[in-house]
Order: sequence, then structure tokens, then C-alpha cells
Amino acid sequence: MKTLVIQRARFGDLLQTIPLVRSLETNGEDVSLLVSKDMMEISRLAFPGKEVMGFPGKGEILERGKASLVSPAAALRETMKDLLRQSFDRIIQTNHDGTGVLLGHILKAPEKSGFLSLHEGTVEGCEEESLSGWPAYLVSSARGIRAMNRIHLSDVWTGCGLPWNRRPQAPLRKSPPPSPGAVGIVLSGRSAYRELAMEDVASLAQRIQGTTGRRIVLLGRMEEREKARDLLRLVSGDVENLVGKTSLPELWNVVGSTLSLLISPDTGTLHLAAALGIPTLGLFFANAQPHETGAYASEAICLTPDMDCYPCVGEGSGCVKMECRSRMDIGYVGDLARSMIEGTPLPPEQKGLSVWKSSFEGGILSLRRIHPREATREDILAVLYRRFFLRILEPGYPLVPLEEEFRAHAGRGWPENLSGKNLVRGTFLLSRLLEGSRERFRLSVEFPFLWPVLFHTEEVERGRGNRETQRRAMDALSCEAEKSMGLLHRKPFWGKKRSEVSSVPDQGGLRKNILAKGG
Amino acid sequence: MVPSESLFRKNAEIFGSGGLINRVLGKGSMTDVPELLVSRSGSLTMKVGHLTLHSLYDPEREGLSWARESVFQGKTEGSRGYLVAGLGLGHHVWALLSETSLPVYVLETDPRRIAFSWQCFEWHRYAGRLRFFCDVVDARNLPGGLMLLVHAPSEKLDPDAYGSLRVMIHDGRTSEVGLRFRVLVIPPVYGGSYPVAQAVARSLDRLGHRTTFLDMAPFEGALRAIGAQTSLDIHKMQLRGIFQGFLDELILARVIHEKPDLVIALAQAPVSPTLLSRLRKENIPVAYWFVEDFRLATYWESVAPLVTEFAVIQKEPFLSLLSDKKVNHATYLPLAADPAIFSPCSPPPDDRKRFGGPVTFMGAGYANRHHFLKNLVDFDLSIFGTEWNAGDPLYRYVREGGRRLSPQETALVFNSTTVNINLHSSVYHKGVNPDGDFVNPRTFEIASCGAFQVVDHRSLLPDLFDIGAELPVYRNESECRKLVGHYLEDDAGRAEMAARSRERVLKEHTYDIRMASWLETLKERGVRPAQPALTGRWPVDRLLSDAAGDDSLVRFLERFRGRGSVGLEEIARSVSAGQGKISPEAATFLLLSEMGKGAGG
Repeated sequence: MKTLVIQRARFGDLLQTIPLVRSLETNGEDVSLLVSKDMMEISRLAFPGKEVMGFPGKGEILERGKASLVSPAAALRETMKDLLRQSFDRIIQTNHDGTGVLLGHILKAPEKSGFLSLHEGTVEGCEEESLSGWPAYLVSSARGIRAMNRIHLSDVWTGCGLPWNRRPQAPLRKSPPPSPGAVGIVLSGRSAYRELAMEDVASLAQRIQGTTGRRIVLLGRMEEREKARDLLRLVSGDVENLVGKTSLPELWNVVGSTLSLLISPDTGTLHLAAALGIPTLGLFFANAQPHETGAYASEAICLTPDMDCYPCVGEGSGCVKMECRSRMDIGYVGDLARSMIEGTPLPPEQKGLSVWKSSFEGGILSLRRIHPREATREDILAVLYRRFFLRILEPGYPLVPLEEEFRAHAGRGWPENLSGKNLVRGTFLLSRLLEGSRERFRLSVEFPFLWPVLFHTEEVERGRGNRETQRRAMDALSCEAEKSMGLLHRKPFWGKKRSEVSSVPDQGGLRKNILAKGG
Repeated sequence: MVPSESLFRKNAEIFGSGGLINRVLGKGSMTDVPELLVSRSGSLTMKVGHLTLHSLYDPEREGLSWARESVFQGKTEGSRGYLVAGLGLGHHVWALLSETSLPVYVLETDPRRIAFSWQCFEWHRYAGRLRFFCDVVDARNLPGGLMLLVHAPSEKLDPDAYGSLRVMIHDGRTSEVGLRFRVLVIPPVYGGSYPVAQAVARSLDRLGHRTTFLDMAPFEGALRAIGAQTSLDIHKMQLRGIFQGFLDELILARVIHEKPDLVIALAQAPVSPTLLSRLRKENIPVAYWFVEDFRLATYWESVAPLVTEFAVIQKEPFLSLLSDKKVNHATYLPLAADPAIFSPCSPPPDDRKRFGGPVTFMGAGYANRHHFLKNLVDFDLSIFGTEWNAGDPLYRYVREGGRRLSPQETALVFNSTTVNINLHSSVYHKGVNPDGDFVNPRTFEIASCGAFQVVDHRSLLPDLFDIGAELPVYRNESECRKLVGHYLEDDAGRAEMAARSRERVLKEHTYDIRMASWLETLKERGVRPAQPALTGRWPVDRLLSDAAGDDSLVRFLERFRGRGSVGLEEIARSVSAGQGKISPEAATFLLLSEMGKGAGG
């Protein structure tokens, strides 16, 4: 089967498409890629042996268009000629934008998936149809309550291409990283909200050097060269400054061949390290969420701040304090890095920070807290919703037992700002209101925590999803809501022993009790 | 036609900016001195050396014939305006302006001829859509889609310059792309300029710009509620300040989302100096139309310095005051009418009865109107509008319960009324404000409906309408009564005057004309769309010429020949992604059009 994957986004997104392409390859599909023209060189490294075609970016179009409209038209026409000449059995369109949707329509193939319409707005010449399945989830998770999204972007894109049982169940083995290799520190991502303070980078570099003796390699964008020069005045020792000095292929080589560990905010370089099998320590703050865009690899470590406002909307938040970034205790980060380099146990929990570790379950990435602690409202809802969405998006997917999901929180208490009774009642009522979106949406007024689910099924999918599958998933959600109360409460729940609570059957026992009391 | 210095001054005041007046007043060459002659028909004509630039017999008739042919050609080619090379004395340009409502740009390389022409013609009447310039290079900055009209006698005097102009136009060094902006229009939350903002948005949309109207009306209730919470002014101010902060963030969020090329705000729009500073920092141009009396609404002092362009409806002393505050980006831009709403109609009998009458006043109950209209009640007066004092004896003449009428209902009032009374508001006078300057929108709207009005004297009115011929004007109650009494009986007189005033509005005072003119000013100030190639309109001939040698592209573009100019959206609409096979060319333009929709670069 000849498959075209359309991925016109930038460096980080391109790298996060690697799992999709590898999954397709594993299934015997002959994959070609349509990428942004300026990503062609790096795409050939990321997808060796694959046919890579370039689509002109807007910058090129505008530049050519200064003199005449014919110039960009002629350039784009050549690309379209090549594409239209080919015949594909399948097209997977990964970009939620008008150009991508239009490409998905123009190019003919018997089978198409991914973004073939927009959630809002129409594309001239294309039929208007609501999204469903994994593309719908990408929209609802991005526009919904992001703190509750626990499914990685790579898994969403892979889901657009293949069901779970046709994915590789474990990540492909990679060569071990060089040892003793250097430690790379990336200064920032594209946004000021993903930027480390220079003083912190300097302290971190000194600390790692001091405790491990490893060389430090500073990495970053061209625009940060001056910052890096200032930074060098604050550090001494074996520090190599490659900020703004590497092309993407050179960066590929540096990361893959010289580093034993990469420390980075949410950047394309982090994804590069993950793709090359280099251990990563991700620092996620502001609007960056490791569950969504963390390193797609096993045993990747991420840090997040324990703050009510995290994750925020980044640029649109107007936040000037960026206290979340200050929470990234550099001493602690240094200790974590040292443990990862030396293979020793990770340091104990640091107040104000959460440490996450990734693993693959049934071929889908999962991040779990390392340190036991009381679950937050978001922890509980995020776990329950992840399971709900995986049930409707990947029916039959083997979810790990709920006890495993809540291992770090078991018996440590239930958050005060989440009413267990309401959680059980609300999810139960939701499972009973199959038809009638108005009634369902009314539930979100009384039980606001149900909004992410309803937003997906009623607003984004507009009822296109399989109602029977949704009903069963909602039933399970309701049962698991109840079960989680038993698992997390400090004291035995409702006077019963923990062993009795954990096996409460559907429709029986405590849930009936709660519902009968109208709680 | 007699050359007049006062006429020269009037024209110079309007057209002489940007250094042109210095050229016109400067000492010219001693050769080829223009000479004025009287033609056989009695009007002036011009001669340079042995060459007559206009007919010695009937230059007006010659000009009219030239203009009619040019307009016919322009319509065929879908021109969006005219570039006339060669002014002479100006007979042909004068005729052209009366035959078309499109903008006209006049290149005259000899400033002395401009000087003569400005003494002889009332060019100032076309202030909104006429521009003069002296240098061929200035043609580079003109908008696209213009049809070049060469005055053949003038070309003979300066063939090199005209040759350069032709080359410049044909080899594409002029900015031929008809620029299309992505515009965000911000109206006030409520108030008199809200319908003006709506008209502005409709007009920009008609002119082909991608326009978003950020409707602030949903916040009217909240804003009014704030005022009702406390009687303490300081608390009201505090609460309003907090609310304004919220509106600032809301507008900023919309700006970030829409990524407009231009923000247009109307008077009383909730754009604080803080917000304006932030927009300025983000390099987002803001054009502000201050449609208020600067003496009463003094917030212009804090707004004007922060915006890219500040348009006003008054002239002196306001313009000088602005200049004193270093606001050098101010433009006089009078109000207008939207003929799409305010057009002649014959309302059905029920509507005529409900909305009309022999003598009607439409407007808010300002103090001067309360006083003034009491003297007209014997004319079977009807009053429409809000804020009329219910305790006042005049209230018995207020119809529709004193509610706010929609623009459409307002048009019905004008069309259903024999004599519309138009009296500008004043908080200080008991009737007519003898010093009143700006002209209210009602003046244009009534005229646009082809309805009859009597209007109070305003100092800026004579520039906009021919007093006596197009509008009857009164200065006091007695004069108003005389006019009302006369015109109630003079059906023919009413009809003629109303027809003339409507014609004037359609030619010079529509929102389309205002917005086109204002955008030209903005372009001159360097405001440009982020992606002109993808959002603008391209001359088809130019596209075909650029594509020469690429047969398939030429074949694709041939279908648009005859349209004059074309934009990407238009091209995309003509093809379809469809189910069947699509050509690479069709796919290309569909994709370019889609890329053009995306905000920013």
C-alpha cells in the first residue's frame, strides 16, 4: 500500500510524526511524505529511505509574490504536478489548517484519514463535515481543559493512521547513547514562555559539570546567540556553545553522536533527542504539557510545576511573573540530571514540582508520577478521561488496571475540591443520557467537570461518534469514578475495608447507595 | 468661468499637501508658458506656444465627449479608477468627474498649468476622490486597477515624461496589485457612532476588504449597569476603569486571533490609551475616525497621538490644535451616507402613516431641539428619536414611544415625510448654533434617500453641497418656518432639489467613497496588507504577460481576460476541488487562495 503522510508543520511536529511513519512501515506500508520545503533536508534524516516531497511554505510564496502572482503560482504548480501524477492508496493529512484540508481533498486516494475538514470555518471547494475520532480529539484536547489531556500528540497522529493493535507495542530499539557523552542544555523554544532564565542555565551548567564532570553543550536558536555569549560569561569549565551555530542536520549529528543526556524546555531539540534514543530531562512550564508534547520515548523524565494556573495559555495569558519557570529549582534539576547520568535512584520529591516518567502501554505513551502523593483534582479527572477517550477512540485497547494508574496516589487522600459523590453521580447520569445533546449539555452546568467529555462528543464531533461505544465508555467512566474514590481515600471508604471497595460491581453496592441518596 | 484667487486658495488647501503647493507656487521655466484664451463658446481654454490644449470652439463639449468615451471604456475593462495624464486647463477632467464616481488621479508635469486650473475650476468639490501630482515617479504609489487616460495634446508637450509613465505602467513598476486589507472595525458599545461603524464595515466589505465587525453592543447592558451601582463618581470611574481593562483584553484577544492589517476604531470605541499603546507596540496600524465635536469630547487629546491615522469631521481650529500636539497624521473626513440603506422608496400606506407626515424631525432630544421645534408644531410636526423629555409639552408630538429606530426605519421616516427638518444638536444654544461647523450624518442620509430636507447653517456645508441648489439652509426659526411653509406647497421644487442633493451624495458622499479615500491616505502613510500578493487584485493582462511562455498557465488564466483585474478568491471560486480530476493549475490557485486567507505572513 502506497501511503502519503502530509505533515507541513515545523521541526518539532515533524519529529513527533516519526512514530506514525514507523507504525505504518511496520504494517508494510510504503510511506511517502509531503513536508514543508524548508524541512526537506531534516525529513530525509528523520525518515531515511522514504520519498520526501516539499510543499512551499507561506514565506516562500509571499517572497515570490512580491514581483508577480505568477511566480509563486508556477512554483506551487510544479509541486502539484508531481503530486497529482502519483497515485496513492492512502493519504493521512495531519495538519488542522485550510491548506492541509484542501490538499487532502485535491489529492485522490481510495482511503483518506486525518484532517479532511476544519472544526470551524469552511474551505472553498471542500464539503463541510464535522471532525470525528482522533482528529476530533486533537481539537477538543487543544481547546478544552489542557490540564486534563493525557494523550501524546504522536499517539494522536498515529491513531489517525492505525488502530492500536497494529502499532508496534514497544518502541524500536535504538543504539545506546554515547558514553561518557556530554550533557546538552537547550536555552528555549520558539516562545518566550518556553525560555529558561539565563542565570538558571548558567547555574545548571556549573552544577552538572561540578557533580558529573561532563562537558556541557549549549544549544539554541540563531536569535539567542547574543544571550548565549552573555551566558558564557557566567560559566566556566568545559562548555561548548553551539547556540545558533548548527544547521538542522548538524544539530541532528551533535545530539545523536555526542550527548548522553539532553535537558530542555519543550523544544524541537527535545523531540530530536527522543527520536535518536538520547535520554531526556524535559522542563515543562507555562503552556507546555509533557503529556501532550513530552519526549516520545521510554523513561523520559519531565518536570512540571505544581501550580493552579499551570498549564496556562502562554502568550495570551498576559502573565509577566512566570513563577512557574522559577519553580524549576535548578539544584533539583541538577540532581535529577546527575541521577540519570549515573543511573542512580532519582532524588526524593521536591515541594512544588512534579516528576514524571514515561513508558509505553499497549503501544501508547503514558506518563506517571514518580513520587507518591495525594492526587489533585486534575490527576483524577485526567486519568479517568484518558481511559474514557482511549475506550472510544481505540475500542478494545488494553487499559492497565485502575490501581496501576493510581498507584502513586493510593490511600493518600481525595482532593477537597472534587466532590466524589458528584463525580459518581454526574458520570452515571451522563452514561444514561445517550441521546439528546441538550440534556447532556445541561449536565455540564450541574457537573462542570463533565465539560471536556461533552465538548468532544457534542461540540466537536457533533454527535458523529459511535453512540454505543460512547455509552459503554461512559458506563465504565462512571464505575471507575466510584472505584477511584475507594482507591484514593485515606480511610476505608464508607466504613468498608479497602479490599471490599475495590471490587464493587457495576450497578451495585455503593454507587447505588450514592445515587439513591441523590448525592 | 473666471480665474479666482479665492478659488485657487480653496483648491490649494485641499490638494496642495505633500509639497505640491510649493511646486505650484514656485517660479517655473520661462519656456512653454501656458496662456489662457476665451473660446468661441465663452469658456476659457489653454494654449502653450502654438499648441492648443483644448478646443478653441467648445472645450466643455470636447471634454464631455472625451470623458464619456473614457468612462465607457473603463466600465468595459472593470477599472477601479482613472489615472489622467495631462491636465491642460482641466475641461476633460472636470467632465470625467461628473461622469464617474470612481477616484481620479491627475498627473500634470507642468505645475503652472495646475496653478491656472486651480483658479478656474472648483476641484475642491471632489475632495474625496481627486488627487493631483506632478512627478511621474509618484505614479508608483498609486493603487492598482486604474485605467490610464492620456490627454493627447498634453503628451505632445512632454513626450519623454509620458513615455516614462507608459513604461512604468507596462513593465509593472507601479504597484498594480489592488491592495486588500484585513480590517477589524471596532464600534462604540452604543451611541451615535455605532451605526456609522456599521456603515464603515459594510462599505469596506463592498470594497473587497476582509472585514470583521467587533460588535461591542452585547456589553451595553453591563456598561449601563455599572453606572447604576453607585452615585459616587469616583466609584463609577473606578468600575468603568476595571471594565475598560477587560474590554482592552477582549479586543487584544481578537486582534491576536484575527491578525488584521488595520484596525479602524470609531469615536467612543472602547479603546483605551493603554490598548492603543499595546497595539502600537505590536505594529498594528490603528485608524481612528473621530466623528465628534472636539470642543465637547476632549478625549481626542489622549487618543490622537497614539494612532496611525486620525480622521476628523471638523477643520480649523481643530486641525491646528492637533498639529500643535504634534499629531501630523490627521485627515478631514466628513461623514456620509450608505445608499444601500438610505435609498429612495415608496413606503406602503401603513408605513407612510406610521413613519411619515408633512413635517418630521428625526433625532435625539437635545435642548436646542426642544426649544426650536416648539415653533414648528403648527406644521403638523412629528418627532422620532430618543431622549425626549416626557414631561415637556413637545412630547405629544413624539411618535413610536420615543424609542430608538433602526437605520432601515429611519430611512422609512425620511421617505415618508414631505419636509424633513434637519437641526444639528447643541447643548449650548436654543436653536441654531451660529458657529456650528461639521455636518451630521442625517444631512447625507436624507439626501441619499432622495427625500427633501431643510437644514441649519453649518460652516462646512457649502463645501459639501450647493446651498440653494441642492439644499435649502436656514439660520434661525423664522427662516426655517419660511422654508417649510414654502416647500410644503412647492412639490416640483422639493423634488428637484431632493434629486440634486441625492445625485451629489452618490457622486461624492457615500461611505464607499470615504473609505476608499481614507485607505488611499493610509497607503500613502505606508500602511500595507501583510500579504498583498495573496489578498490583492491583479490586472489580468499583467498576469497573462507574466505567464507568457508557460502555455498551461496562460490557458488557465485566459478565462479571466476581460475582467480587468482578478483576485485569488475569485479565481478559486471559478474552479472546484470536486470529485473528478483537477488540473495542477486549478489546484495551485485553490491552494494559493486558501493560503491567502490565513492571517499574517
